[in-house]
Amino acid sequence: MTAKNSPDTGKHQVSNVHRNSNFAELDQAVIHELHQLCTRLHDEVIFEQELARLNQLLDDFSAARKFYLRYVTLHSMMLTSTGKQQRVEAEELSRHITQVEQNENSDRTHPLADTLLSEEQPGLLGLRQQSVVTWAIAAMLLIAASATIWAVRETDVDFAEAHHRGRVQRPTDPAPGVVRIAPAVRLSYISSNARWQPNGAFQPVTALSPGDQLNLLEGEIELTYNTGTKLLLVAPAEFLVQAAGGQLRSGGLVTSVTDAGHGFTIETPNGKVVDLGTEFGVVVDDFGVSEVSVFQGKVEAFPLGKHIGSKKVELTKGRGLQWDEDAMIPLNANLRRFAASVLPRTPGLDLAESQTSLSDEFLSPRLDTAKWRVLGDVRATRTGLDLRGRDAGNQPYLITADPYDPSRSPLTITCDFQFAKLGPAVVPAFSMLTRSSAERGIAAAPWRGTLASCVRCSFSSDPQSGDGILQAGVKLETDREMANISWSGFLRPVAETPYRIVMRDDGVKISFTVSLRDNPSVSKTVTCRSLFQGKANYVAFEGAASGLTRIERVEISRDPIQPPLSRYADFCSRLSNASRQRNREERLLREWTPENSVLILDDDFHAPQLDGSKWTCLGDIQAGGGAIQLGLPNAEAHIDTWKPRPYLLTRKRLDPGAGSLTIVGKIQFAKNFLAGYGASFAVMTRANDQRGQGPGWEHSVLQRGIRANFWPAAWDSKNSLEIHEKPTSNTLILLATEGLEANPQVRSYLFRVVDDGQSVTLTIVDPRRPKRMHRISASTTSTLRTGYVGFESCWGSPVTLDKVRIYQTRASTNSASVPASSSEPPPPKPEA
Amino acid sequence: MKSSDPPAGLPEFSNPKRMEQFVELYSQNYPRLQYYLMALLPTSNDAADVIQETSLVLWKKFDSFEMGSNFLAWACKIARLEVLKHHERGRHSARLFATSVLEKLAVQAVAAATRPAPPIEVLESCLAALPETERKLIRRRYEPNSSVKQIAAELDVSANSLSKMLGRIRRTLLACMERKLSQEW
Repeated sequence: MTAKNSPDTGKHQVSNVHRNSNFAELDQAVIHELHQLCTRLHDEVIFEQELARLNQLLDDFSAARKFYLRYVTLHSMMLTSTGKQQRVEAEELSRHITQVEQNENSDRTHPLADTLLSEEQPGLLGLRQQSVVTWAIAAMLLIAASATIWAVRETDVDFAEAHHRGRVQRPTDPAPGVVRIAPAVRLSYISSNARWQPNGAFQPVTALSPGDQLNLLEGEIELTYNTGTKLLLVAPAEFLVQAAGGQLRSGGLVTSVTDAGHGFTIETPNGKVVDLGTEFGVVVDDFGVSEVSVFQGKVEAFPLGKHIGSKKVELTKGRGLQWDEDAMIPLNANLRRFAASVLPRTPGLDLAESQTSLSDEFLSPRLDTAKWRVLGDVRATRTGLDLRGRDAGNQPYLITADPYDPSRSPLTITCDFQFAKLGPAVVPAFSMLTRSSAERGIAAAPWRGTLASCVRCSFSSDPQSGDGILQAGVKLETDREMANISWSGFLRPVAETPYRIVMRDDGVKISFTVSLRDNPSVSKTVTCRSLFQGKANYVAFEGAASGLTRIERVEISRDPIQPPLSRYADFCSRLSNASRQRNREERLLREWTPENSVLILDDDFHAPQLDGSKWTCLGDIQAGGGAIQLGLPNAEAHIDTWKPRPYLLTRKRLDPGAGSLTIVGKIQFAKNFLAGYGASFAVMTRANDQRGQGPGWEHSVLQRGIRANFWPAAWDSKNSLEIHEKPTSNTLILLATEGLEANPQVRSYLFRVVDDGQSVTLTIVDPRRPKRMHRISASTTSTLRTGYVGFESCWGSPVTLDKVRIYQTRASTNSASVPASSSEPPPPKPEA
Repeated sequence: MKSSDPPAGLPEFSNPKRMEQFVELYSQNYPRLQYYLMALLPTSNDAADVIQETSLVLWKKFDSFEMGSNFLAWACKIARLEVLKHHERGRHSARLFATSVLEKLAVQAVAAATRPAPPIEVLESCLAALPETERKLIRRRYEPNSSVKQIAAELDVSANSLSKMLGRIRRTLLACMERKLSQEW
């Protein structure tokens, strides 16, 4: 038996600092056991034997019961961190009762009172009436409170989530004295990647009210109306909550309306959609086009436009409608396309490589007519394809011979080009078109000669300032002008400089990146949504109306075709698949959290810039896009392992001798990671912040430190995992190596490095195969102690780094600086 | 619920003031009563059932309650009887604790329930100090209608290992609260 004193004796002195003073009669092992038993009991995974043991401890020791009750307190507080709210609501109801008593007549105007009194005889006002009202309210309080005790408070859980992640705009609070029995709308789901538009006036709420404005930049949220109707809003989106629906100002949503929610209405900038019992989706794009698709049941659409007037169109399952100011197009509801328009990505296919469908480097003096056709002055040379602009209205075009429909499978188009011979009268411009017609349209200037209909992304210079402008536009009809969105702030186009444009079009969402071909760090990306369904689906490249543009390479690739979606549940399931993948990674990283440790650095790299308080850089490190890119690609996709390597370094020096360091995170290699000698990723600890100088590859890494290296290209040798020690600039000792059968299809891994000052362990795992961990350990020999932690890739094959956490094991519990506590377990044994 | 039809068997108070008193006392003491029942019936469904039953009995017997005396002690006494009745009805978790344990727990739980509850802000500050992933996980555990088995399935882990993770987080929270609270709790 493990108790120190006889059971049920003595009172305990209260202490808030001394370890376990409250449970003095129990020793550490029993407390640890009680912890386990209590948690298993509350999680309902306890075995009979364990329950018997818990009963024995609780029966024998007063301190054990006290401990158990403390656990219950935590459990209860967690469940009712909303208890406050519960009381507030109860008090509000009490206040309301008082008001009812004070004012017999005025309460008849209150909706709740009206409802309660509706079946009373008109002459029975007075005490009888009050008592019915108060009784009913009390009954509601009792029953509702009781029924929701354990079902408490989705809202509060979400409250914290919403509070943590962002804010929902609440323009005005409910008027004082108004009793809110149930929120009209709840925020019932927030995806883990949700980001909200920051706004100083925001307040965190999850019980939404009509008038609340939701500006979602990233992720998905689900609203549940008090009728049970659910609405999934997918970022980027702006949505104004209404009691039975809302206004979708931009973005996409899918909704599943219950019987009680009939009449649910989604307004768009140019019309509205009214439910007649259904599941339907609505998207509003960036060019003022609205679209509704009906998955189940029936809706009424009310398009409104300058030229279409006010219409009412009834749509049934499988039907859709698209409209803008000028035109209305009936559609067969293309659910896959609709999914593409509202879902940010295709979970599960993230790692599936797209297939190259067309590639041309234009090295032949004859254009391959099996691939291409042209309009205007386009000439093939041995150094590229020249698009020569003669005059406005006669722009040169290179057009694919075959159509590429992005709504069938998303397209990625890469084009390298340069402007040649810029003269004073020449305005450089280059455009890439998808969903495009192959014929010129008949619109008036300045769109005369532009292809009849298309989505068009262009890079040009501002005629006034000469600065670079990126534009995305859509031309819906042959005789209509192009509707454009412009972004400024990019470098002005320069002659004879190789540029690279990458355009991605999934049938609705378009992203467009312009960069310097040889320095991709100089780049700008813009995104937009267009619901326009191409009348034809050619891909085209448009040269400037004046001057010469030379195309040097074009590559068109297609994503795998995606499985269909047909119901609200399918959307949710697709989102939850993405969420499951994220959860799997989070779980693995969480499992790697060492006990009794302090999280000393945590960065998910959501900020557009690198956090200078945490990090420094050596070489090419790029922030943005929710991750860090270590290193740059190059045009030839060549990897050189001897060139100086890029490093992300902690700003602070860390001493693993003072507490074991555990460094975890997620990496993704670039597509070329197996080319040549192959890419690598390493974590260096106890490192300095200078690379070596000299001809050997050892000088490409930091001058000193312990280096845990993952080199998947070495899969057929014994060096996939390596631990090096670099005590001085010119000395490199290989402490351990390990072979690893890396899967060429897998580029994403989670890593963990543990350095306790005496030894280093590197663990690598593919998160989709969590049971197959690869591990290598080595004892270190040098006297290296304090140093930076550095994350390294190699030249020519960037590694994306994310979710970095660095933990340090707490100093011994005897240390005066660490407050003792009754509940902390003993420090873990050092890892072998 | 159809608001104008009183549930069968419930008294209709002729004195609305008395009703107001009940509502006030019940709502004030509700969290501690909840805590008391959770201590005796640690699985959520049983406790939820019993608190509903208890609330109705309290209401029925409120006429016998003397204003000015300890409402919580009175309510706990009735709740304890309801727990015993629940046992008699043979609900599954009735057998989680031996009778002797239940008796001892009931005594200590009343004492604990009559002390002021630790401020919720302390828990919230301890939650805020957790790493984000841990905070999310423990919050997820206490979402309505969620169970460890269900979350484990979502996360693709066993219920045992999820409980272990939750146990670690709870240990951290308890340690944090221990440090922050100067009062007995």
